[in-house]
Amino acid sequence: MKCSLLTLSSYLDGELDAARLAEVEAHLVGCDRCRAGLEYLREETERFGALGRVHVPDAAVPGFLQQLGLIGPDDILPPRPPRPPDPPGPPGGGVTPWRARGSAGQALPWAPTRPAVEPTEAEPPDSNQPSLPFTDSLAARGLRLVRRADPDASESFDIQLRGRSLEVPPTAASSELPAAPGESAEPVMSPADRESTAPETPPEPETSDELASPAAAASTESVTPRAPAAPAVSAPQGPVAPAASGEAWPRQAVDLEGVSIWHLGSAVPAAAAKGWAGAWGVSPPVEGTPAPSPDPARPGTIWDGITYSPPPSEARERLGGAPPRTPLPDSIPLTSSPPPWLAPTPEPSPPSWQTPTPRSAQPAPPPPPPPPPPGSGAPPPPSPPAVPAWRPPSRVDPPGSSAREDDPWSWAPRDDAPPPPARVPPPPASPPGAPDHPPRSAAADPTWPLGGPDAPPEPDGSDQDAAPDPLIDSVIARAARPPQPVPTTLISRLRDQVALRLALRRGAGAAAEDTAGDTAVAGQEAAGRPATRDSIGPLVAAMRSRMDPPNGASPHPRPVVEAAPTSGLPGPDRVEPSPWHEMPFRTATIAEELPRTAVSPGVRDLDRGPRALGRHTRRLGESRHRAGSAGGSVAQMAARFGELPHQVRRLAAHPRRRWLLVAGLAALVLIVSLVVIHPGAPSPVARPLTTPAPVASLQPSLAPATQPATNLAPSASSAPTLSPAATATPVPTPAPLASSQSFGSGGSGWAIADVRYGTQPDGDQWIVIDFSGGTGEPRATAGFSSPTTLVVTLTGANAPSLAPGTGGIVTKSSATEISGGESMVFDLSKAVALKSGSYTPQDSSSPYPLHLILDLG
Amino acid sequence: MTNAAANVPAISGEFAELVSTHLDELITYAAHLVGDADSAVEMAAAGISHAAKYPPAHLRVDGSTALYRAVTRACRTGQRFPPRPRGPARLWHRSRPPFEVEFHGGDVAGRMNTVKRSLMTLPFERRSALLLRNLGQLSYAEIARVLECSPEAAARLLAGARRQFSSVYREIAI
Repeated sequence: MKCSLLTLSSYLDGELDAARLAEVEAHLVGCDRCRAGLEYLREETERFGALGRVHVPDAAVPGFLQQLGLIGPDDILPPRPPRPPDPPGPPGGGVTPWRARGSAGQALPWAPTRPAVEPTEAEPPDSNQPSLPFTDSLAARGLRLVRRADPDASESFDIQLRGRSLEVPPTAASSELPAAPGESAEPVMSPADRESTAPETPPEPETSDELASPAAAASTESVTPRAPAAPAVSAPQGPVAPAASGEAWPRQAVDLEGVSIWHLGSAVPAAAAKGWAGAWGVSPPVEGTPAPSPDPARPGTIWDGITYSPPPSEARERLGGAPPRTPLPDSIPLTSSPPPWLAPTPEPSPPSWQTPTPRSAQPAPPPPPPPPPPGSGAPPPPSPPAVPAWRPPSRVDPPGSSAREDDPWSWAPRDDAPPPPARVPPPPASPPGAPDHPPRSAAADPTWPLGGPDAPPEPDGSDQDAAPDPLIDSVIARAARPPQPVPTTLISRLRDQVALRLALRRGAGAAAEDTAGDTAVAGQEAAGRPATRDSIGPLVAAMRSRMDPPNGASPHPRPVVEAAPTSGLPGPDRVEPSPWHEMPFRTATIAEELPRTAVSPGVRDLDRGPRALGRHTRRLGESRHRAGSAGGSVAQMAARFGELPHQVRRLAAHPRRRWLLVAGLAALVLIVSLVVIHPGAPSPVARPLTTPAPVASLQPSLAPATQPATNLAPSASSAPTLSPAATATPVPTPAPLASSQSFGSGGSGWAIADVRYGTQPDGDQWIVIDFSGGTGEPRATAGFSSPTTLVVTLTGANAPSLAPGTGGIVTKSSATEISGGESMVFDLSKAVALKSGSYTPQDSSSPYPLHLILDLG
Repeated sequence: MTNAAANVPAISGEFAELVSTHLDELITYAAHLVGDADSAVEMAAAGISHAAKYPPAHLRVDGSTALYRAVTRACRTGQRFPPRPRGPARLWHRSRPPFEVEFHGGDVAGRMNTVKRSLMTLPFERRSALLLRNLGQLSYAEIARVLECSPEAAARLLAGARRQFSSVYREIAI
């Protein structure tokens, strides 16, 4: 029996028949997996059984049925059966096994990371609204309520815990509960059906407990455990004796040092008091602090007397100690420090462009140098333009430093640079006597628009609104300044050369025959020099020469891409340059690109000639099919057929189409090979097969031997008569044989007397062909046309009336006369290999002097 | 014009007695099947009303199964009793007094939220099969008649429901 959930489910429901039931029970004995699965199913079934039941009161049933029209107003219904008791709850109080085992630290390998959420105060439930079992939230945690002795305690009050009303009978003034040591209040009884979940489980944020504070008017109202500074959960040292109060106590109480938990059902292990308090949002007070005094303005508040005392260190160690509540991982601490870009910049460090500095260690920009004193005789440095001052903080430029030659993008802001400082106010107006400063050149100062000795002082960050957006400024700076030319390198030069050659090959074709100056576009001499008229002229001239080949020269010379000539002198094929504007630049047509040979007369130049139209277009007034032009249609077909190589060439020109063409051809060849060369086809002319009994041994059979012996004479005489018949019949073409072997030097006049089959002691299968009446050794060729088809061709031997028969592994055999010999086909029951074949020495005394033995492994 | 409903024989007390006997189970089943108490009452009433109008031929044989089937069909189609008017009729619709029923939750109903949430993730057929088995204690044959399928199909529905419920419950419970 296989492990199947369906089987287990049926077994659990008792829906299996007796035989199947026994089988499953036997399987459960040895299958742990099924036993565990069955236990899970039982648990879930019991969990289902504890679902809330709906009960319709007996008084409401007649009205219900009357509304449905089932009964009349005067109909009397028979009494309903008594309501069955609610099924018991699932084992463990519905707590999952991994929660019930030990404390939080033991059950879970990780500490709960849920933030401490203080229970929010929920609205009191509507008294008229029934508490539906399916709308209640999670059950409340265990609580120990301490009620203060109230002279008016004779009035009953309701405590609603999560919408369920818990009747608390009044307590007599004399029957005060004994106060626990250290408590100022008295514990009250807890109802029997108060429940709690595992204390180590942190409360879910969406749940909230509702505790109804006792009302003097016996009305219910819900309260929530608040987290004041003073109140805490009281901690009796031991369980209060229920006999003293005379009231019902819960079924089981677990006294925990610090917290008492009432639980319905099994005991709940102790929880970390610290975490417990944190879960409730109650700050554990200092040990020894007395309970807060009750509020006289609020009589009867139960939770005023709630106190809490942390457990001793031993308990904490035993319980593993709950980890302290940590703040949210994504909480961003607020700091009062200003943003980094507003902080004053430090002193600049020495220049670091020679050594690469890490991004994180980018030094701050240096402060701008002080402006020169007015009236100085030295040439005043150019004042910066009226552009918001910003400089890349990551770049360290000492005063007066020039731009870096090897950094073309030095003027651009870097990505790893911190936000630039705020806008600085425009520089103060120059003194009246100071001359106007020319604008600074961009090339001189890489840190344009700001930088150098005339840079205004750094802003203090006081006026951020007036400061421009550094991002926009950088964009403006980048757009206003053209990029500097890129210095050439070896790789860039090579790249340019290859790109140029490819472009020339595609376009003009003979552009590489240019001079050295045109070839080395990216050379050192022509750094960044674009294509000029001088370089285009030769290209056009080359095209022109192709179009008008002089003296029968090839109109389509292959573009020869030469390297840069060392001497610089024009090569032998160099064409005289001509003004490029004289010749309209025209790309070569397909016809021009293709070499004009005599083989392809059907290539039509679509751009030229009278038949320049495509297949689907025609000139006005000209019909594609002329009347009575049958030859014309044939010519059109021939012309179209002649276009096939051209079209094929066009297809092959495209790399993708080329692959498609190759794939198509390969598929066509494969199909043809499979269809034409189909192995295993027997020869169309074959003699009728016989079905004799298989021969197990090599014992010569006298009966068939006599027949060939008697037939020898007539066969010899009938040979000439049969030969014309044989020749009249179509000779089957021998199929190619695999692993063929040839035996015999050659003979003639032999007649195949018999074919025998046998199995050797070593397991090999032998085929013995007996010959009679001949000379020499007939040429025999044995091979496999298929793994299970042996074909033996004998030249110089005939078997006019031979039926090879079957035997051993030979299931079918046939003999066919061929020109000058005999061809026998043996169908084998299994694939074997031809180990060897040989002729036995001729024995003239035997009726069959010659034997051919084929050893099949 | 004849009133077909008028020709229907009067409902015998047998059907009413059957309904009154299984009313609690029917409404409980509908409540957990639908997930809403008010809708469950209305849908259960719709099913019972439909079964009263068109009593099953094998009422005496099926018994409560016929009622379960009617309630299941009403929950599946969303029929309510009284039917909610649609269109302009809603403007002058006078709602009937609600059904006065009381709901008494179980002792551990608060802890069953995970079960209820897991139940609502199941498809309707699987949920109904699971509730019929675990709440109604119906056999596979009866479940098959309720769900209008074969007993083997009912068994497969139940097994699939348990598998899916267990996986969802464990995922939610953690």
